[in-house]
Amino acid sequence: MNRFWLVALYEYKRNVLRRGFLIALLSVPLWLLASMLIVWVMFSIENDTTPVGYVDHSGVLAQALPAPRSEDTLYDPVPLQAFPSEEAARAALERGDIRGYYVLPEDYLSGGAVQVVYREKIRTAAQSQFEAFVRVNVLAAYPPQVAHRALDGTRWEIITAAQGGIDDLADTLVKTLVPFVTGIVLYIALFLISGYLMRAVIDEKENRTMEILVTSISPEAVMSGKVTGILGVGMTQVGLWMGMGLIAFLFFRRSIPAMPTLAMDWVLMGKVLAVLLPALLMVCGLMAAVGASLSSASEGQQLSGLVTLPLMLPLILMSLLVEAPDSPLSVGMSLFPLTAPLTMVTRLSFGEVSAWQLGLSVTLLWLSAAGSLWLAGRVLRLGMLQYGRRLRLGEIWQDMLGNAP
Amino acid sequence: MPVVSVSHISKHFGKVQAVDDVSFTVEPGEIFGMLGPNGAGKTTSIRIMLDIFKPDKGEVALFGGPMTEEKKSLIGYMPEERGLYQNAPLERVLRYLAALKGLRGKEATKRLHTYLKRFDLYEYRKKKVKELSKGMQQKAQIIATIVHNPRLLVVDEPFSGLDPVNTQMVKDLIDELRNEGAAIIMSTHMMHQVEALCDRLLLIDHGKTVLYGTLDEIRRPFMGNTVVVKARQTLPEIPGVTATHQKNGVWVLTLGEGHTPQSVLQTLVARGVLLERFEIAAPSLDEIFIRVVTQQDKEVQPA
Repeated sequence: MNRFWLVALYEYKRNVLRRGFLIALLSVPLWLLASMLIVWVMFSIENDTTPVGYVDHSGVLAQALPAPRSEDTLYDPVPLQAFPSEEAARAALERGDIRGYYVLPEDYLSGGAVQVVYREKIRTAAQSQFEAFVRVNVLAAYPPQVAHRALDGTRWEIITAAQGGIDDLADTLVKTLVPFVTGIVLYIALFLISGYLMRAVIDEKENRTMEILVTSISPEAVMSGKVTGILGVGMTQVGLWMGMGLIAFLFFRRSIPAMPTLAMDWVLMGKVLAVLLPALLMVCGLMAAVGASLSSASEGQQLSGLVTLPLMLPLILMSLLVEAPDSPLSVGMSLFPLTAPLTMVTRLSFGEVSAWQLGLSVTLLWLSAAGSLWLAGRVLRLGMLQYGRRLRLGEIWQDMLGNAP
Repeated sequence: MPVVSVSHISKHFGKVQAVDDVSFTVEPGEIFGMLGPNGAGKTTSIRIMLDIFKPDKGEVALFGGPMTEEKKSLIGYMPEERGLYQNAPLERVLRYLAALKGLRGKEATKRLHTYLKRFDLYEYRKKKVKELSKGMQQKAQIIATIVHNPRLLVVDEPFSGLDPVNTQMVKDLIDELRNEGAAIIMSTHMMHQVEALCDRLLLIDHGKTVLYGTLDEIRRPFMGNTVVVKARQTLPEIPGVTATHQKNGVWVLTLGEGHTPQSVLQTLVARGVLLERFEIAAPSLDEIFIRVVTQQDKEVQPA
């Protein structure tokens, strides 16, 4: 086995077998699971199928057609029960057979007023179900096509000038959602991985094992072994999260038939990955450089903020970016390497990005990635043996000018 | 073929000349002492030798050529800055460091356990390194340095932090490795501790070589300058003796230029002094070092 793999494996095991890793690994899905459980419980309580009654004085519902099954709701349909008189309905309500009842007066068609009598409020979903039921029957005299159109409303299709194609709005949203969510997940991964890497580099200095390592294998092998191990740790974490997410998704898709099917825009996914890959390298390089210049992990917390703050900026300005993906602010932030990753993913998901902007942004990101990795290497070599003290910016600068020790 | 051959290396950090034209060789089966006060340039010389730093000038050959990745497995280095991974169990750390030197599997277990037992660390092998005492960590560090049976052992301040019992243990171990044919470089500022152990020495100060050779070669020019005399009576005036002082019941006589211990002995015998002891004082390395360094300083600053 190559010694580089020894370093990678050791680094991987050292991180993965920690208790903290397990806690971090489990806390997010556990938290998600808990919140889903709460939603599920509330949904189950809400999902009450006690019938709702109605008394029709208007004759609209005399030969009642069934209401079409609504696709907008996750709740089970509520049986609608006709009563000949208000007294009968009242009696049923008192017995608890129904949750409440509607009374359509004789002049319903001209007046439109409907009385509702209940003990406990009738849910919005049941209310809309009854409304749809009434509407179907009001329109019963018309041809079915007309009735359906009137009920379903309009389906919006959007034609964008840039693409020229026809998009279904709902469909687009679903397709965009997956790359966008992936982008966010990878973005979190980027924070995780670069954070681990910074700590791994500092660790070597805190433990003063650098000299022993570099007299056993080359500094390049130490560094690349560490990066590989850490990437493995990050991938494990994110992979397990995504796996748990997928299981949850499959589970809920089976339980909830109305859950939309998984559709994805692969071109968009490709663009998102093209932006995030160099971004990952760039941030790793910067964090490694920060780690190599410091002597303890607590110092790292402070200095890494310099890198993470601009990375977080797009999150803070997210609503501006989503609303105006083509504003000068959005364009500028999608070109500046530190804000580019998230801004570009947002812009790609919520608007059109011209090819030159995407190309320029990705090129700048790759250049920054190369630059930051080079810097990390220099700083590491310079700071390797500076135990117990932080490197000064001046020293790094001198070193970059070629006045190496 | 020498294991290490360093010729005319120099290195500066900013305005400080850390190492200035230092040369030495180390042969298999010898203990080579690199001595000098703190900040003399010992550690920098070692780092250059081990390819951690590049020299400004000069060349280093290890096992007959430049450093390679394969040669690193033949080297055991205990740096002055001691360190082990604090948050991991002792045996795992040692196993990892041994694997980096190419020692793996059953052989690694066997050798590790042998040394852990020898250093009374066997029961602590599952403990995290940070839970061990400083002395224990120091011993663990020594195990990490020698477990792969290096042909070149470089130890920087090997006895710091060790009690007398463990110091002796390490001395015995170093002696053993020498007898097995390893070349050993020992760097320390505590010269009296290694005097008896080293076959050859390099004394270094302000980055420059002050003295270099076998212990005898280094001592000889400084011998004969002082004699130690024990007598039952007060000593008479002796020609050629520039200073006389009494210490612990013996007389220490410092001889002037051109006078030998023989002439002093002749005088004493001729005067009928009853001698209990007459010996040519061998100066300690500390004394030699101080003498050379003060002499040099005088030369540098002619008052």
